Amino acid sequence: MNRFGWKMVGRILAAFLLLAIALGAGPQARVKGSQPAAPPAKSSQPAAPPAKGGQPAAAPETSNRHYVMVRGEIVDYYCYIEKGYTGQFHKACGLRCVAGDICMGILTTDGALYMLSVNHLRAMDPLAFKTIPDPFTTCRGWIAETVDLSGFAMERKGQKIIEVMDVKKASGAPPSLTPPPVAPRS
Amino acid sequence: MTVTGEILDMGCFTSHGLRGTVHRPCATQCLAVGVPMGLITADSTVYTLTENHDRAMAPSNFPPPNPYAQCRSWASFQIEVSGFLWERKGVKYLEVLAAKPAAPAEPPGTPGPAPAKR
Repeated sequence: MNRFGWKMVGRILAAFLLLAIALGAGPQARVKGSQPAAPPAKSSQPAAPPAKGGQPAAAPETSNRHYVMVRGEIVDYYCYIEKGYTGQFHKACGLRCVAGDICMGILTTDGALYMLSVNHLRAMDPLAFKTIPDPFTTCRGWIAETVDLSGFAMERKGQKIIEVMDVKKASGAPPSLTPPPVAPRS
Repeated sequence: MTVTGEILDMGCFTSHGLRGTVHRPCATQCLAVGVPMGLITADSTVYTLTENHDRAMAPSNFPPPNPYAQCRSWASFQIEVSGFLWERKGVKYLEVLAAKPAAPAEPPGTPGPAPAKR
């Protein structure tokens, strides 16, 4: 066999060798750089079933929580929604309602209605806030009063809520997150 | 009216859309300290739940159990609620007169809603 013949035999053997390696790797062969699938995590608890109603369980969505300062009247949410009651004439009923676990709301001077809620951090760990006055509780005693209230507002499916961070009786100019205009120098 | 749906902690639902069994511990704690409560139905309608007005005005006139208080301990469970519906400024407000667990929403072996403490 001449030199050309030995070269051909070598090439054929190399091709067979590469083919054998490829077949040996079989279905486990992967494109360079791809990661193997992680094994299923061992857990004593089964995966949470999706909540009924066609919605996935606790699918996190984007937060729309933002800080606001509003002026308005604290209302007994039930009597306002059912009958539109506001003001001093309804104060006695309103105080008893919220003491009996009915929600509060604030009807702002521009006509928006927010339900009031306790701050989430305080709700999760009330003992940590034991020595700090709770503005949400303060609101319970201020039904029918006009207040300046600040906190985190959020809205979803028509429900508007403010987590109360601070509240005081209304006085002076309405609160605003924007600084007051600077008076021109004379 | 009677509706069936999942009990929501309205704070976490409104701010982050959180709900379901994975959020149950947080929701239970939130509802226990007075965060407003809601209910979302299969067609994604959200109701804010409220105590019955007469019971709020004179709690001692009503024997236990209090269905509204029961709902507070049933966060993230499927509950059938009956009561009066009020609506103003886009808010659907359901005054709870009766509540009971709906068809089992959990796999066998998972404890169902605990009896209300109040």
